[in-house]
Amino acid sequence: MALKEQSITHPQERREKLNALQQTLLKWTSSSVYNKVYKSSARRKKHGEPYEDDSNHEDNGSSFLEQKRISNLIKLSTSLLKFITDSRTVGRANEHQETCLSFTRQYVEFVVLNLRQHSHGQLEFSKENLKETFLCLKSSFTYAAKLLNLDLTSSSEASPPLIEDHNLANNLFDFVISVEEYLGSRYGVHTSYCFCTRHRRVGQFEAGGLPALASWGMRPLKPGGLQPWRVGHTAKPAAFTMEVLSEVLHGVLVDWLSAIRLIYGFWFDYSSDQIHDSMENTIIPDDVLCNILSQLSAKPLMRFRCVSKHWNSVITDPYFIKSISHRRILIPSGLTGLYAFNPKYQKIVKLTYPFENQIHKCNVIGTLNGILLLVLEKYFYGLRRIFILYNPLTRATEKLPDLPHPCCHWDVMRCAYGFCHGNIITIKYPCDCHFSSRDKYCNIFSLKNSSWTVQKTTFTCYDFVHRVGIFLNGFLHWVAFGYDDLDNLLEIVVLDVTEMVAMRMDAPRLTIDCYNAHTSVLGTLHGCLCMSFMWRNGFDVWVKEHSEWSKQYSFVLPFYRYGCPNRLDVTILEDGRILVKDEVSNQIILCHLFEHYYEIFKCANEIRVTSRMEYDEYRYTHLVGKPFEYVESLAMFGKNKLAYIE
Amino acid sequence: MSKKTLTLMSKDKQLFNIEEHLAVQSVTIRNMVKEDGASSVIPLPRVDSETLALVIEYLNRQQAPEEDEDYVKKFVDERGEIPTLLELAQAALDLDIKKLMDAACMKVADLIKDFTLEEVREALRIENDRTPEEEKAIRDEFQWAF
Repeated sequence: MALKEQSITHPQERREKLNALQQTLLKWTSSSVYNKVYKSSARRKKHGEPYEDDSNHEDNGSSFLEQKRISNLIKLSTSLLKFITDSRTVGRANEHQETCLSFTRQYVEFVVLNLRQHSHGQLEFSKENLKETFLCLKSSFTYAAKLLNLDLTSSSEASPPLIEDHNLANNLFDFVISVEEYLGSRYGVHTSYCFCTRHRRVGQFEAGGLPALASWGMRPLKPGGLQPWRVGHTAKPAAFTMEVLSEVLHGVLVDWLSAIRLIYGFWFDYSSDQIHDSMENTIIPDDVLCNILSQLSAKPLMRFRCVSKHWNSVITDPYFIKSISHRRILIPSGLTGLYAFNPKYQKIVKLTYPFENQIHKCNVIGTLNGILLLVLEKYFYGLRRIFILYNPLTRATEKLPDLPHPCCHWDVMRCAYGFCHGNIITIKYPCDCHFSSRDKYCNIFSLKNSSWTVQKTTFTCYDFVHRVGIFLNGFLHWVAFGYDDLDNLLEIVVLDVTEMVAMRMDAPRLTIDCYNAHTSVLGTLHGCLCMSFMWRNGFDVWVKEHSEWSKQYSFVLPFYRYGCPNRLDVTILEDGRILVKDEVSNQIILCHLFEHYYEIFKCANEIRVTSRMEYDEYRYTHLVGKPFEYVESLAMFGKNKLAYIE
Repeated sequence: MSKKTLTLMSKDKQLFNIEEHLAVQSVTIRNMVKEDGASSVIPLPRVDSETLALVIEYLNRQQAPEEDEDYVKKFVDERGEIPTLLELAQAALDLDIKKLMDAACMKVADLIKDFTLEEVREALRIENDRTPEEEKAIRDEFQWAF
């Protein structure tokens, strides 16, 4: 008993400790660096005049040092900002929201100040340095905008955004303008475009942003407009309420931007811009480049990361990947490997993955952030299992540590998997569990700690119809045959993942000969549990609402006039779509429940889950995984990185 | 109803005339017309005359909306050289003509997708600033892609 308690509290304690550690670290870094940045910029303000004198004496050494110092500081701050933003994303830094924001704000102010100095000739960045610095600025801008976005989306009427949020938004506008003014227009437009498109969705701006934007729009209209930009925040039109502004900005901003971009082009004399020349080796504007790259499939995209540093940075930009990534459906096939299927392009692509040449049954346990969790099973003197993480876009794989007892003589039918809260849960019974009253255990693998733990559970014995459970509202659900029941009725096993207590739930009441057991699948619909049953030429979908099952949808597939073929596999996807895989005529049928229509995709004939021989043997039919939907990403593995995936 | 005509000026100071109702397919021109009536010449300082001629040819098309997609495809297919397409894409970007931009970019993507790295760099005039070691690291990681 003591042992059991320890095993439960131990990871929790550790998590708490880790949390505390990270928070202290966060607080420390943000406040100390904030002081440093702030102080050094203040110092420069104070000693502004002596510096100017120095540069007049052509003291190259000191200006070089100064330049180096600033670019280093920018690099340092960028990585800190990344850290802060990441921590905020994971929700670790909520208590230090204000510190984080003020750090970001100070940093942005610092950059604006320095850029202005650069344009005045007090501070000269060399050309190579400038390019590097710009890359840093670009990414720190992205992080700052992300931070702001996080705050604004999480804010509501009850908890309005902080003053710091407004200040930061204003400063970011300043930032865009400064970059535009001092480094050349192409950069400014790029960053601002990112910013505005991202914030249009949130649509909440403080009034102070308006004069800044307006002055930005006006400035290029003056041909000699190279005077330093000046708009006092005193000009803030207080009469504008946030609601009015957000509405105005919502629609206008993007149109406006394109207009500004063109007007700007008229007055800006590119040939006289020295900085522009040094960047000339990237002839293609970023917008065009992004558009071209977004049309490419994963293979050339990964290859073209080698073309140049710039291309690599564009391709690996998380926002770029997000904008081009598609929902895809992974179709595991026991004999021939994995396939990815995209309904939009009607294309089915074969994927490569390790161990594919050995005969394995492949199940998808879950997906997080574009990474799929696969379990490969092999029957060889018992059941051997390998758990791997797999990113279908980058084709990267990582093998997870083996189960404490990787090979055992369990009955293959009595294995089930589930995935929730970053933990893989595996359940298995010994063959004799029906007769013995031994305790039942399940193994839990935590992706965060990358280790297996054992927990006691209260399962009685079941034959699982499908191995992978559906997670909903803190419970994992499987369809199973209860063993205690002499009638062998289909029921649903429910596992409470916090207490690890198993319960049983009734399946919809049908007469048993109406359906074939392994065509019944669980899924979710509008956040409710649902179950689909195959009939002669179609299927019914039952939804469990308020603890009552009711038949809500009926779908007829007219081409199965003479009855569905045996080898039909049904999967419930999100948004009321049902995927039917017909192995006999080698096609995939995607049914849209709500709109009530279906699409048929013919596939190459090798997409088979099982060989005929295996299929005829009942026990193998459901061992191979179901199709699984995921959204592509470039997410990487690694112990530290996985912690941020959730 | 008399048709209004706009004048566009390319980088090399050549003038092109186009009817207003056709020109407003470009979001940028539409915005400018809205603002000041655009009675004067509209300068396009980043677009050369050959490209502008192409853009105007595209804007002047007389196509039914349902055939439009095919027309754009055919239009860029006929000008299947990468430098021309890039110029076209940039002009379409400046003038904010989404269909033309997408079609041109898609054509470029289609052309370069089977290129080797060297071919891509040559075709798009990109300097290789990666060291062989960096390149090898990516090659090793993504062997399946090469």
